[in-house]
Amino acid sequence: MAKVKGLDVIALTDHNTAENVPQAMAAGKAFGVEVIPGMEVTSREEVHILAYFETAEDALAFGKEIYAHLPDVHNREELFGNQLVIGEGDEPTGKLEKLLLNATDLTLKEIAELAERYHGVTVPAHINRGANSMIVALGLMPMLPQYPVVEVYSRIPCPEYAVKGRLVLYASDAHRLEDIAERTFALNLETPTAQAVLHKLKSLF
Amino acid sequence: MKISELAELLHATCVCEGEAPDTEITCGYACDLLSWVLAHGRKGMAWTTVQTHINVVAVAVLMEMACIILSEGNQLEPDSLRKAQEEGLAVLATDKTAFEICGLMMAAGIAPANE
Repeated sequence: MAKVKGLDVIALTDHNTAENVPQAMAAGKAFGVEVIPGMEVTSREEVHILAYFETAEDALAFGKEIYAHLPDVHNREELFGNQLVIGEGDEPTGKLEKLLLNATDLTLKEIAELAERYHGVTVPAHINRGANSMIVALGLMPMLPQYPVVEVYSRIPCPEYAVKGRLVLYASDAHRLEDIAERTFALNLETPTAQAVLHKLKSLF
Repeated sequence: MKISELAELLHATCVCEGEAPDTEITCGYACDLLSWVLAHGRKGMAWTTVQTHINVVAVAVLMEMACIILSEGNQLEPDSLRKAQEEGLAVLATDKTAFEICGLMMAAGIAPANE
């Protein structure tokens, strides 16, 4: 779908897991779409924060630590849907037991530090949305960590003070194929690669 | 009711003394979404929450609240505690749930904030 929409770079940011990243990156290679390995982590404060990495290995290692910080509450497929790990040929190779919808017991600061240990960067997700957003959960945009990059949901307003002096990313937050955005948002990069994106984002920290 | 008396009522520990322990509590509130608290906070409020982020202190100070009550055994993060000490904000902590805390406060005559 990303290829059909003419997107050069996309990020895979499943909730609290990176297990599908390697397959997504392989598929991306086959179709000529760059896939950034990532994840959307739910913090203790129930804020969603995006983590982007340079390599699948880093993302997976980070992902394993995140999974360990999820409570031992198991998924119930009839209520929450399935949590499959997809392998080659779109065949499921396994499933994840813990409910990925849950919040980890890590604070936003701890998540940022953990991502940094794996050479990644963290970006608060949809800061202006009604749920799981920095603004609603924490009232004011926290200054620490600095959050030089934030993700904003484009279809609703976002207060000016929250984005002042920050790089704003607009993403699809697509949970379904049809939600993947058109070719509307661009970053100036030398080459359309995951490394280039990470490099650009890191330069702001 | 004074903050010190509230601590006794709730069998709460005093995590941070606060600069004015004799402050009279004007009303009570329970909420964990800080944007909501910014909209409904009041001067002299005793506010209970599970949030421990530094913004909890910032919001309480901004709204000139009497104290924060951390419920269910939650503890302030180191940054948050430091900020509370700097700002002279009273912070109580208890293992009780928000439900129990509110029940006890209302039974003792602390009212909800009047809109």
